[in-house]
Amino acid sequence: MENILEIRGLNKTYGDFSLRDVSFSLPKGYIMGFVGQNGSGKTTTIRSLLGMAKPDSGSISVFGLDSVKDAINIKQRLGVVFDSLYLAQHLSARQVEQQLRPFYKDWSSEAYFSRLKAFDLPDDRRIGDFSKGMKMMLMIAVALSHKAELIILDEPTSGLDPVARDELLDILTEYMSDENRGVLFSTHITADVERIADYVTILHAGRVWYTGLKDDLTEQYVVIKGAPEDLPEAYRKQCIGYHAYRSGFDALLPADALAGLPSSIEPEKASIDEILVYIAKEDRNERHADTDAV
Amino acid sequence: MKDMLTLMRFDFMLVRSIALPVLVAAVLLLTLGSLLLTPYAACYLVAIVATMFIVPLMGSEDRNGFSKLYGILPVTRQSIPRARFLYIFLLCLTTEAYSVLIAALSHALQLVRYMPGQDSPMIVMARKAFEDPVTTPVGTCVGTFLIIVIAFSYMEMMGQLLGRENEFKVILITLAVLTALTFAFLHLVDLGVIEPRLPELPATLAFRIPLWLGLNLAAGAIVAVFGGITAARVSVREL
Repeated sequence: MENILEIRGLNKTYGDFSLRDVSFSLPKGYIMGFVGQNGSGKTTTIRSLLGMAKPDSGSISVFGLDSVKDAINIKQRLGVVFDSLYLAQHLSARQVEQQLRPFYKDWSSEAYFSRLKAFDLPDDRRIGDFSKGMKMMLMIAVALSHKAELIILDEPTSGLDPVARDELLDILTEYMSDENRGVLFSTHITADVERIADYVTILHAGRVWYTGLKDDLTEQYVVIKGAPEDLPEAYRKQCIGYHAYRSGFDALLPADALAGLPSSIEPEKASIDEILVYIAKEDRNERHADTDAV
Repeated sequence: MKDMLTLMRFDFMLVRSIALPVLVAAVLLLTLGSLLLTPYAACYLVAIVATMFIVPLMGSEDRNGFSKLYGILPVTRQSIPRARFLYIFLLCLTTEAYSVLIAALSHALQLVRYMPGQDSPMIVMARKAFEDPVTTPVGTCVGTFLIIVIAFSYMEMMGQLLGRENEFKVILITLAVLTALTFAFLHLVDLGVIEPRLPELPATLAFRIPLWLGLNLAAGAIVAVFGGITAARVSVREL
């Protein structure tokens, strides 16, 4: 499979925060959900990919091209949507089109205006007066008007109402009807990833916690619940985000560690949301352990 | 170069809708004022056009979140500030050329002679302007251009290097220093410590035209230096 995006050993430090050895790849024809808590490094990774942040080390290749040396060529073929509008607020969608058109070799005004029409966006109103959902759709229209082969979305659904979110996910699914394209979709709303992503990369505290097929992830982990005394110590050590409460415990457990688990403990398939929550709990457990030790 | 032209067009389109109506009114008014009254009216054009078409750009990056847009546009990072300085220079230069043309035309036609109310103080004052040789109003237009283009380029450089929030402070300090130096100079002249002797420059067009062209080139070089310094510093920053 040919990769449309490949990140290898990306490191970047800002004060207390570090991206450490981030590596993942997205094959052509697929959507990757890029998930993690706020502050896990998703935006820093995307900014590094776009050349907006300078990595300390590592390499990024897009369409098989080097993200630094071939930045302009890459950006001609890349569509990007951020969580907030990056266009002049006092202009209309028509004026924005006139402003951006000359930058792109493959810009199609026809595609742009037909998308505006499809999204019900007026082309003669100040875009600063648009709602959050309308602004998002406008950025999508811009991103899709120059025949972008890879779309990168940084938290596009945060702040959108469920209808607008649904609409956006439909657009991405439709966009992927061409198998030479790809989508990297950063979000902390994992329901969106569950719905449309083929691949998932989970970033946690600046490191890649998981990268691979979404279905493999949800098959690799289970949530276990039961009475603490039923859980042998050997299993407890393998638990992620073990949390005991008055009437029992819950934790995430790698599916391959299930063999021999007492029948009183019922495993359930883990959702991406649950996985993220248990990873965060595991961190807190470690912090508590450190504090206890002190 | 194509990147720079596209970016200049981007900047122009950013302010066009705000500035164009005022610009049309100002150009009409000052052209008529220059042709029908005094040629010196044309000299205000550079200041007005620069204010209308450059000032709204300053800080537009912060207001509109353009740092993200600059990160995704298929242009080099260096070309973004360079294009802004080229835009400032070419805008002022074009306006200067127009104001010089109108001032010279006004001087040649002296239409003020045909205006009604020849004895009114305004017309009397306007007619006095024609006692100067043509090189004086044209030279004033060139001088205005030089001051405006250097001042606006300096403001742009300071804004980009130090941040828009500090730009105002820096400009105020610069103005205060310049004012203090000017007053000190004038005071020393007054005390007779300094005796400034400016060379008498011939008022002929044969002498003045190359001088003006030279000054324009010098202004272009200064703007290029400001642009180069800004581009070198800004392009290595993260967006």
